[in-house]
Amino acid sequence: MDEQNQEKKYPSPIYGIFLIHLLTVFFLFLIAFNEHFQFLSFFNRIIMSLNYSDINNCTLFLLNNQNFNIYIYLIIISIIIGFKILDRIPFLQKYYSNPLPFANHSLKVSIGMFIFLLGLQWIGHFKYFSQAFDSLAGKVIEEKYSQTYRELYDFSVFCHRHLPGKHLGLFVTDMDIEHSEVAFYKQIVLGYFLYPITIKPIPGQDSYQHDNPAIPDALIIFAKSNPTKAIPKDFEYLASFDQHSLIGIRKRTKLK
Amino acid sequence: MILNLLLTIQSISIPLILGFAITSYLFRKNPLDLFTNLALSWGLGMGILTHWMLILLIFRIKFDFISIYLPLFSLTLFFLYLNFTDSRRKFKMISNNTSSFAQNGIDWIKVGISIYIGYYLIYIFWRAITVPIYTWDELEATVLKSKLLFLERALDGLKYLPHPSYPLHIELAFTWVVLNLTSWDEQLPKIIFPITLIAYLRIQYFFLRYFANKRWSLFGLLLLMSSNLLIIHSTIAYRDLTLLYYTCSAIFFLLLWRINKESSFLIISSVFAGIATFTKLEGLAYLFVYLSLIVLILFQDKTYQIKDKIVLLLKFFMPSFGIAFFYIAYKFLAHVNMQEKTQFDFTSGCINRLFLTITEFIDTLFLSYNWNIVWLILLFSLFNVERIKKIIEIRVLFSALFLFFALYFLQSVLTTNFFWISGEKSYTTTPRLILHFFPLATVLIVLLNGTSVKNLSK
Repeated sequence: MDEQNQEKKYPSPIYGIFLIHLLTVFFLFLIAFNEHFQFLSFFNRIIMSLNYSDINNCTLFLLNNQNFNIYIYLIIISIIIGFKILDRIPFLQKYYSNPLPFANHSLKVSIGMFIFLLGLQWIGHFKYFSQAFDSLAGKVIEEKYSQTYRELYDFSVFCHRHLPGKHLGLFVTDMDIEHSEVAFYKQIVLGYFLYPITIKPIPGQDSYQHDNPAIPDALIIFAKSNPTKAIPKDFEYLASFDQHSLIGIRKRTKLK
Repeated sequence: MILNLLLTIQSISIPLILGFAITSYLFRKNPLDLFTNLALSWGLGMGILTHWMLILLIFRIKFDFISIYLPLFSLTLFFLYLNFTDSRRKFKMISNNTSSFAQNGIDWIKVGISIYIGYYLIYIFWRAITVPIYTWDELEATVLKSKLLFLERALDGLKYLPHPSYPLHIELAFTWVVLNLTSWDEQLPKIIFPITLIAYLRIQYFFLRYFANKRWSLFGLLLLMSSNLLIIHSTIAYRDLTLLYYTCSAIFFLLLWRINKESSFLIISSVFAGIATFTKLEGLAYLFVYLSLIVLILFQDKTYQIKDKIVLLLKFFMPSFGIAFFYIAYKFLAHVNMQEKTQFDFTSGCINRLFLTITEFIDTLFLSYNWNIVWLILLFSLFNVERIKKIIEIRVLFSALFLFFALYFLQSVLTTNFFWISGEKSYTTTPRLILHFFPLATVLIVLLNGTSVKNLSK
């Protein structure tokens, strides 16, 4: 008997029915054992989780301290075993008298689950897409940056206004760049927006940029308490952004 | 806005037409259909363009019409001239395998898959050119370097930025689009990433159509597009999608060369393998994967004599290693730090790392939602032992997967890269490494399960 004929004798809709049945049981089980369980919010959580991907990794949420994928695999295994049990029931054998081999059967179940998940993924994605579209439509890039990075972007705009052109700026901050990933990220964002002003950290401070041996001609003080007191003796004050950030320039440097 | 869009289209068209002229000439005896030819042209054209820009930067020649556009136009015209004067040249607009709806009626499964893929492609294009840059590597490396290259038109400043030894394909491609736009832009140049994805989809489809029917070939693309990670990487200025394009295309064309015995397939595979080394540092390590695959193919092929096998091996080796050598030689001569990601660590912790690495890979493959449940489907497909025994392409693709995993296992166990692959920072790196060869899993699923997969092995 060839593979194709075998497939035809096996009624495929029954897979869908069984899948839906099992999923229903699964959700009812969850609802029954959790009095605070809210189906819609849970469903929403699933579809958004299946979509969420940061740039490095799409991690699924935990359900009862277990990765959600574990439940998906359990459902797949339950369906595979369930069908094998159904195969043994004489009454049902007339509906699919020629069961598939185990391998083919497992594959079909997993492809069925794949398509089911794809559907959920699509629903969630559509929701995400429409939200993202609404929030970004009609905005110019400056608005988007200002909205996302706030003072980091605004500070760099301020720096470019007072220090036009290319500069090497000595960077002074209270941010814990060596130990805090958030602070490190802020330094990266600032470094990007400030360019063509490049930043050189004060000696002993960690930086994502390699140390440029040139002598800095500008001073960038960001997120520092009492910033005026932090101005080194060979620099002079140029302008303040706020009470924690200011810029300075090396004495006797002429701006273009 | 409209002017900028037109300039963006211009920046895409120039490398595309250049690549098209060359691939049309390369495949003159065995012409590819128009879309596959264009898909290959994109990768080839961009590879040539970025290498040319690198040469100009090395020799401190400023970017202008005479230095960039004129040589590219000349090269394009030269190959177009060769194409039109070659009497053996055959033109082919569409694939022979195409069957019309009129013959078979509407296949709603194919329509459904096409709608799904089409929806994601619209999203990807929208996101790429609407969401400005925000990710770590874009801000720290790729786009920052492009900004420097655009504003300074020199390589000198790169040594003060992070990862000075990283290849520059993405940075130069991004700079190229900005050069055409004439002023700095962070959104429109990202259009190169969705185009790379579309080009790759066509290449994978073309490869699958050699073996499977249209429905299964489209299903292969559906499996691929189910990956959240792939979708997001098609919208950001990272190197991983482009490396995926070059890596997997190189492997597919190597396999197609095994079937066709046409040297054009081998050459394009080799050139893509070379350009992959200019995309990401990992591309250099992948050269040894391709080399192992071609050795495996030649070892199993009894139609060639030893001498022919050596010649064929050299035919692959010379372009790929030649392209790789060019950038390495530059880095060596320019005293760029080349030790990044290559420090070995043979301390006693190696054995412990083995277990942690295995756990990390299992976690990433099966407990993340980066790939839907594609790896599980591949696992179930392994039951189809008969096909594995019968079809050599399946064995070669499995060998490729094994070699990629082995490469990262060794890296994790024997080098300081453990920190990134299986250590504290693995969540930021391992999925992206797997992404480079993830399409092989989707292709294998189709080859192992497709109902009308042709056995082309000889």
